[in-house]
Amino acid sequence: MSTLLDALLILDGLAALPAFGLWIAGGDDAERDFLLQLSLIHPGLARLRREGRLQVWGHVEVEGMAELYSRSSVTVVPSTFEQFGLVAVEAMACGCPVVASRIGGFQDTVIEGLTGELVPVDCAQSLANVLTGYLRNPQRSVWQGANGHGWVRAHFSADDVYDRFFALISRQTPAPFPPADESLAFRWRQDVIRAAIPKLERLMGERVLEAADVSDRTQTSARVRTSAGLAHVKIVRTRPPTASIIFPLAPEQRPPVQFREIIARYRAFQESGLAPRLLHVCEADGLVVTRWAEPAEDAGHAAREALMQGFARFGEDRVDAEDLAAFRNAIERVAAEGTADAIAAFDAASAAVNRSLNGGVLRFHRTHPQVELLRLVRHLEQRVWALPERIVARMVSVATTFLSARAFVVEFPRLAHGSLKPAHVLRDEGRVVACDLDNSVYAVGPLDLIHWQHSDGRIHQRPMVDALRDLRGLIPDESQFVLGTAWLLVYVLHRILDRVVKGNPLGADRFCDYLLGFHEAAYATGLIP
Amino acid sequence: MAPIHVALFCLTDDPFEPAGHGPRGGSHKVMFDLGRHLVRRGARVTFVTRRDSLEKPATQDFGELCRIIRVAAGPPQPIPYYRYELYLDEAALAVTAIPELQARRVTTAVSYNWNSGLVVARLYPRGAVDHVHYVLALGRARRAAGESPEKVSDAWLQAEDTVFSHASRIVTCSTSERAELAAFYPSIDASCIHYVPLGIDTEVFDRRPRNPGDLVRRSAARFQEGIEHASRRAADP
Repeated sequence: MSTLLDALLILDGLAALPAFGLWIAGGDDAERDFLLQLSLIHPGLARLRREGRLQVWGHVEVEGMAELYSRSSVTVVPSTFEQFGLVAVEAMACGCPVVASRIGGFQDTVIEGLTGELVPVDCAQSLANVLTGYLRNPQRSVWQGANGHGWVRAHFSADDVYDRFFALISRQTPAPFPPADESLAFRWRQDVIRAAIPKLERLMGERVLEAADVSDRTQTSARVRTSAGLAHVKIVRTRPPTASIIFPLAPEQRPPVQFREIIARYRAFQESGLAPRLLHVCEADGLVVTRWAEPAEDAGHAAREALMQGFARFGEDRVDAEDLAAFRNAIERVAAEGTADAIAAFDAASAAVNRSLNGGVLRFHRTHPQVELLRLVRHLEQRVWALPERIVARMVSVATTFLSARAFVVEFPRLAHGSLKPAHVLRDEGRVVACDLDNSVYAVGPLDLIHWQHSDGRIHQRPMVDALRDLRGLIPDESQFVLGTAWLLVYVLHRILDRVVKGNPLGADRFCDYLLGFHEAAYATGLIP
Repeated sequence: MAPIHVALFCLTDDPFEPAGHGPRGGSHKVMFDLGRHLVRRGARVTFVTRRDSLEKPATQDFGELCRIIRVAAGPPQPIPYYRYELYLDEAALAVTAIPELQARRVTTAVSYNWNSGLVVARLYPRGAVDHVHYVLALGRARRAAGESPEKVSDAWLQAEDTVFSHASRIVTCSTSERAELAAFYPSIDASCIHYVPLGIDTEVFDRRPRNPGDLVRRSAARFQEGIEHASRRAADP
């Protein structure tokens, strides 16, 4: 309990968080009285209680708990020891995501990133950081809550579980749960794919003979075989954009990603020949079916170049000239003023430039790496996240060194795939095409090149000085080299924050250690004159 | 064919007590839900628990298939879980005297945590009944995690040895518990260990409707779940 109260006090000290409250439910009368006494003595807790933001319920009947779960944005179970953790399952059944300690049964019930998050035991700072992701984007609670609801009903209802037990005592052998080689996320996706098959058969007019999970981290997809051949099926569900979990964004900047945005991209890229052929779309069921294209096993720099040129050509005339001019002006204003207002104006211009990709929806996009470095410095100064001082110091040091060494590059954005890596390159009837176009974006600088160079975690494998020397060789143009290096830093800095808000402080440390080599690399490559 | 007769030993907490009252958590409700489910599947169920209040009847019947027996062992009041071991001899003696718990009348004895497991091991010679033991708390793992000998006594650790060698099947409620069991008791035959998670009543724990359309969707989903469950039963009775 002390971990949760410490996390509450940390959250109370962070900037750019919406108003929130904590309900503590359960425990006997003595525990309730202890908490009430504590909240009288501790000034911070006393203030939160006075403000009505800390409520100690004591024991609550089962039916009442369902009501509390349903009215909460997130349920926190910071146990230090738990064999199973019924509370987590109950909360998920009520459509409430769960943040629990990475121990015991929680690892069998909470699917990280899909129905909640797991955090290190007794780490108030990690817990606070993970909770910021829920407080800053209520849509995340809705999305994970819906996932958890389906997950529990499919696998933890008393009827199903005790049927298994009945089989056990009847001397039958129940099917193992889960099979040893399946992760929870895989099992969850199997449920989603299985549920989609009848709808898919109606849409395609064919019987699905086989469906294999080919999902990535955020998107559920399947390779299906019908009598007509192979197809790729994307099962689209409304979800919160990733950036909204990390950054404090205004509500109008973070509308949930809807089906129409994804399909708008598919249709646009379809016209350009950059994506595999679209076969069927069903908006009501969120299904996008394309012809199956084989991964390009030999995807190398030539394939990358072909795709990057394709994206650049495709993007030239699709953005309104006024929007482009406003975007350029907004960069100049950020460069001149560096204020929060200037960054907000840039975000609006960036959203306008990208709306053609989003089916007309305006949303936050990261489109200029130097603006992102500046945004990060501002947020770190504001204390938007609960980070150890050494991490803050290193992040600020790297970002401010870069910003003071190099002037802002002012140029028009170009279309980028946004997540270009060998695994996303396909061959469709001899053409080089790309999959996973959900991250495509109009952005400044060689975003795709940086992503390609450092995808799949390869960034750790070599010192930063080597990475920057490689970039020097690949990018002869000085301003593009500056932008490329800035994207590289943004890539690393955002991964630190991503790990932080997902309860993985060790992962954050690893990326932070990588930054140690920045100054040496910057001098060695002439980035800092 | 006579129905199977399952004796559910849940001595530490009365399975008919609501969750979260006094020193109790909620895991004893597993025995309640399990017993109810077994009765619905046609099994005969006898709950065996400790009488922790004189206001509770010593024996209570629920139709023809279900009975709860509350044995006199220790004071008739709730006690902390780590003090149960003081009354295990009394509990073992009390259950021995109950005719309906004799080996020839019981098909399966299900025990819930080590106290109950030890009573079952004393009541029945090994192999006389099918003993299924729910672990729920592994003493050696807790001791290794730093719990004090006051909370995790030596008697608990010794009892685990006895119970695990007596039980024909051992049920863990999480894969981590299964891994701990295998690590601390490498001599247990892995095929005897089964992972069965705990379940909840999804009629009680459900999303509150956010709008009138939700009520209809929920009714439809429940209807569908009922059909699917009935279909599974029909396929695998």
